[in-house]
Amino acid sequence: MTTPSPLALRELVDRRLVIHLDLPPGSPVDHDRPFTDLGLDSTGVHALVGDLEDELGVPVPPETVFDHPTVRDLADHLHDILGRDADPVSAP
Amino acid sequence: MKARLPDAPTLAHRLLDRTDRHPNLTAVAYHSGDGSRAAISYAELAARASAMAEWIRARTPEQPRQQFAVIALPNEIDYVVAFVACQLAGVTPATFMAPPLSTDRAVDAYVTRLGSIVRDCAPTVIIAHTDLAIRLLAHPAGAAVCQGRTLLAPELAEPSTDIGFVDPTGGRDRLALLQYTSGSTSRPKGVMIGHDNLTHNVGVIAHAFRSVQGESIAGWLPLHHDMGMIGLICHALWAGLTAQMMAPHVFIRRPALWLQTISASDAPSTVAPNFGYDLAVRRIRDDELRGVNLTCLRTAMNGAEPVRVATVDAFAKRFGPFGFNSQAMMPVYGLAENTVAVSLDHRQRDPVVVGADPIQLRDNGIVRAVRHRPAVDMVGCGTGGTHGILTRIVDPHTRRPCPDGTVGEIWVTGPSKAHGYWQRPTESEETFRARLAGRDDPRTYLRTGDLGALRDGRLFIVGRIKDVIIARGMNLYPQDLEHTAETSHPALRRGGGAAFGVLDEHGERVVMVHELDRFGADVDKAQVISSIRRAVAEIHGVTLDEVCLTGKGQVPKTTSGKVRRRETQRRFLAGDLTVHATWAAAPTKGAIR
Repeated sequence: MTTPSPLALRELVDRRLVIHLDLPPGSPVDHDRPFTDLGLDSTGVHALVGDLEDELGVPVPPETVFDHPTVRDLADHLHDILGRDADPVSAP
Repeated sequence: MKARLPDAPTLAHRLLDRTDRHPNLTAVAYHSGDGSRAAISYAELAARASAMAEWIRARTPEQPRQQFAVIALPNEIDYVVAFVACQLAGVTPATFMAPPLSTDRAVDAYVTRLGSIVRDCAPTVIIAHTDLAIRLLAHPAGAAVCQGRTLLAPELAEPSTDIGFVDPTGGRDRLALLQYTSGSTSRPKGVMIGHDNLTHNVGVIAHAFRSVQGESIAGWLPLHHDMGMIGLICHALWAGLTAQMMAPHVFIRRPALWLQTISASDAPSTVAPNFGYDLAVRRIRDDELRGVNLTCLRTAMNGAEPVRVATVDAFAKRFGPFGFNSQAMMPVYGLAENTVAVSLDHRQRDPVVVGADPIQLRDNGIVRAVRHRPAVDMVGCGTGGTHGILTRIVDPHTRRPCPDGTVGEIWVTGPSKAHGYWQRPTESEETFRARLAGRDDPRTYLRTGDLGALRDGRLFIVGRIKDVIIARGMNLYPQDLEHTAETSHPALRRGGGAAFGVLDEHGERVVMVHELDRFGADVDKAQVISSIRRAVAEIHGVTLDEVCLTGKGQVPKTTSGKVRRRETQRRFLAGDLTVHATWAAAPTKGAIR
């Protein structure tokens, strides 16, 4: 499987985030604002990481959302871990 | 009124009896988010718990004083094993949890909370998985918390073939459970639940559910919560049921798993707080319900937080086509100070909803049903007197019983009333041993601090005493104002409102802080504020003096989902809320800032 681009991942996070913020589909979300400022609570965090795990097939612990607190940061981080899994040479 | 239900002196006696009768029946099945399932039979549970009990006993010298073990495990089968182990060892479990998140900030807060509980009950043993034990010992404050205590890891215990049991009723009157309530973090309050209380209360619950050996009960409440540990687990072990459990975060990720599990295990019973029913309505998609059949559900207990009429209706409407019988929904009232359950329904019926006259409620504290609108919808939470649990409505000032339909403080007495708060004699005396005025009633009552009314023997909950707002001579119940506000505009978050009073030189100002579900540019905040004010004025005849719209998570809640109004008030006054829009009535005019 080829690793999705950071842009595609940003769109994925954006799409799922909009659902868990209970916004109408397609609502604009600031990719550089922390999730908590956007109104994501602990219920939303667990729901979001659950969706990302389903879509991407890699574990996404809820802490990830706190360590990478914006759409852009989280997408970049997901790109990194997916790239690491896809590239056996860099595996330890 | 039948008094004593229990036929065993402790849960452990009953469990060992069940282990003899149906060793191979599944006691607990744990469903994880990836669809996998782990299960433990009654015999395996007894064997694993016996092994742990031996460890606990070896580290707990026989002493006349009460011995505690703090359970700091995640919501999985090991938690149940550890709880039963404490029962077999004659050591009282203080039910706690594993850290919900592993970020530094979350772990710091966790260690602080654990530390305050450890200081309060001075346990000999802390039960934690190896990874948490290592983390605690490496944490600067965590090491001090663990100093002088034994850390036990349940995964290291080999099942024991020798079932050992120290009968706690043989010696002193030991406690079955120390249940910490959501008091302040610095001074947690541990409710002392005796074996007499626990056996009585699970007996009452099993009776209301009409639980029959071999059936399943499904739920995802945290096990450090009284309704999770007692309503789900102890109830199951007492009645010989299979507890189909999942962790709360698993439910939040995949709410459909809850209903799928009920259907797959043909479970007649489930327990959940109102927010769970609400989340199920909002988040479960039709394609997740393929093959789901809820006709098996006889009792869906709804408790641990205020029951909303809108949720009860929406759940029945949404899942009716999937076989859910509206008569299965059972709103209840309870609190840890009475073990867990106070009033339930002992027969299946549709939830009883009363549209109460808001003016009568406000001016006279009377719940009087009216046919016309506006009305305050209230849902009946069980019947007041069942199996020796006596519920009375009492005027908190005169300490005299209130007439039928009149709002007062809910007082409770009976075999489920807990023994008090651990090492807090003054508060225990005030809260657990209140007496009615006059001398004709020798009983001592639990003062719940909740306001309610009994109408034809049915209990209706109005709110918390300390939260009542007295403005312009009227008694305003925040729960009513919040209920009205949350339904006044679609952008408002359900359960996200807090109403409270703020004293100034003119008297008490009525303030509403409300979370928004949506707050993009498309949401007209001035219109939202105006909708709230208009609805509250229309229904309750009072104008709000200040309205504050915030993002999600700004209105603090207790672990059981109750709105913390005084904490919201503190944050509001300190300017700690992240506010999207606010409106305040000035002496002459109000304006959006």
